[in-house]
Amino acid sequence: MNVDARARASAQAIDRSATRVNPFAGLDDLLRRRRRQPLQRAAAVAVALLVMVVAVWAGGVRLGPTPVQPTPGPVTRIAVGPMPVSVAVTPGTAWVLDGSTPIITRIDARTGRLQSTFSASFAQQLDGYLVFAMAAEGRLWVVHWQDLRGAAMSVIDPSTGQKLMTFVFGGHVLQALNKPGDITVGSGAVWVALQADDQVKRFDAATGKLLDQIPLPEPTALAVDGKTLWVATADGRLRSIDTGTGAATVRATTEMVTRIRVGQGGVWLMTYDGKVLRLDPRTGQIVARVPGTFQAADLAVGTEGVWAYDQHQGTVLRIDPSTNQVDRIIPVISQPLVELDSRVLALGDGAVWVVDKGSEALVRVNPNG
Amino acid sequence: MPAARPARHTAPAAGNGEPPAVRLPGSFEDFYLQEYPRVVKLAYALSGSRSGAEDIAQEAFLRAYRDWQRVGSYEHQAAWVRRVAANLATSGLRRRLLEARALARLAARRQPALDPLPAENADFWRAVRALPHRQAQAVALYYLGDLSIQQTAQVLDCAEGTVRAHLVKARRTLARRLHLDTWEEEP
Repeated sequence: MNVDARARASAQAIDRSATRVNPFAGLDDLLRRRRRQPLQRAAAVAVALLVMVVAVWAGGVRLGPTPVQPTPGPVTRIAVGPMPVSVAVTPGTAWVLDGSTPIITRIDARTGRLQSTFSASFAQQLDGYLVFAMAAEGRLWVVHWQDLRGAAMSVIDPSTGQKLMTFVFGGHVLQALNKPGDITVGSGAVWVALQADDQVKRFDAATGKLLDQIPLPEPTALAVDGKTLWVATADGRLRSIDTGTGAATVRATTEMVTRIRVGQGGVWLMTYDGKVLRLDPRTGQIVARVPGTFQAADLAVGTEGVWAYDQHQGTVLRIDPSTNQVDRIIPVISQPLVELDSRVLALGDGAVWVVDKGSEALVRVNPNG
Repeated sequence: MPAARPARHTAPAAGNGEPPAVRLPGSFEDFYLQEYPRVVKLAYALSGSRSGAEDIAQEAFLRAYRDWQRVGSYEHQAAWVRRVAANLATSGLRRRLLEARALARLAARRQPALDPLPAENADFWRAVRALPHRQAQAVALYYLGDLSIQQTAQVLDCAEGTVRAHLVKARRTLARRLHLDTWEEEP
């Protein structure tokens, strides 16, 4: 089949999928929305304040049993809200970002008990959009919108919750659509792939100073492993860059890669269409394509193993690095939200963590349960 | 990406040297009922979100409604609203706002009116969304909206040659990524 025929068939599939779209219902909705917008704004502010007050009260005063809805098996659900978008885990603590208010919730990773919430005052611009969090080098790194010109990342001391520093990227990164790019932290540096700007920037992790700008066409994903930076570009090329000399080598060519993770004896790649590949870092060869019908939306590698999140099935999958096969599938979300770019999976404190956006919950999965 | 102002429809000049009269707005309701399903489908293709597509379409129509006195006088009202929807669907920041509404819909247990796509077609649109966004918009408008090159250029507010270039590049990339035969014939 040629690309034109596939395009026409796929357009017809969209036509068929929309037979239940009812413009009359939509018109009613539209007119209601038009009337209630001023009220909605006021109500949203009031609800956000109320949620903050209740959350602080629940975490700070009511030190009761774990506020979870336990389900049989290895999965524990922890109610958070109102719109969790990302989770990162430092020793003993899970940090959940809220996407509608600049609120970060701190949860005891072992008990699931909410410890505190705080407003990320560094992210007050643009309604305080928090985008994504990760844990690295003993710190919490929170990506947020700086202004309409781009994103920034603030570094938080997990022991105090205090902001230590802010990096301003000078470009868009981690957009849900278009050109999401990527961020990684390691070896004393912060690396930012600005896909729309055709470059990778390197910042000093201690001072926030911009150290280097590497021109690359549409970098989509990156990861650092010691003195090697792995960078994927939209044309499917995977390069290794010596962080000392800056020498770049094309190591493999494959589908477009949107995640690179290093660990468990390999470099793991997630492609734009949800496949997981394994690359041998010494030879640069793709040594395995993990078989299965899953469509991974996020990928994490750590001491807990190699894990992928399938947002279509609402499951997490464990990949056995000795066989490169999925050896465990655990349902975690009954009504998963399907997104183009999903950063909802984290490993840490002996568990796998997934944000359930639709149900406003954090899901803790015991990998050995 | 701000939507550029489309050309206004004007009545024939009266011949008395006065500027031509601006067309009076028609009925918003008629326009909405006719265009809404098309805009939902466009938003679905470009956002990939079943629940978010209707919100994107509604946001585009809400903008038209707020300023209907002006938008209603445009010759190409449909092009205007499609451009707004296409920009909303491919703008990360603005889409996040709309995702918030989609989440609220989920919380209210309102099922999306759009059905899931078969895997092969879902793969195609996923690959389209991974294209540079002007190429993605051109593909969606040309194939899904069944627009001509000229009409697609009107919506995107660019030259017809630019649309052709977007389509050629997009087809080559899609063919490579989806392992399809290329299709080099000029549209």
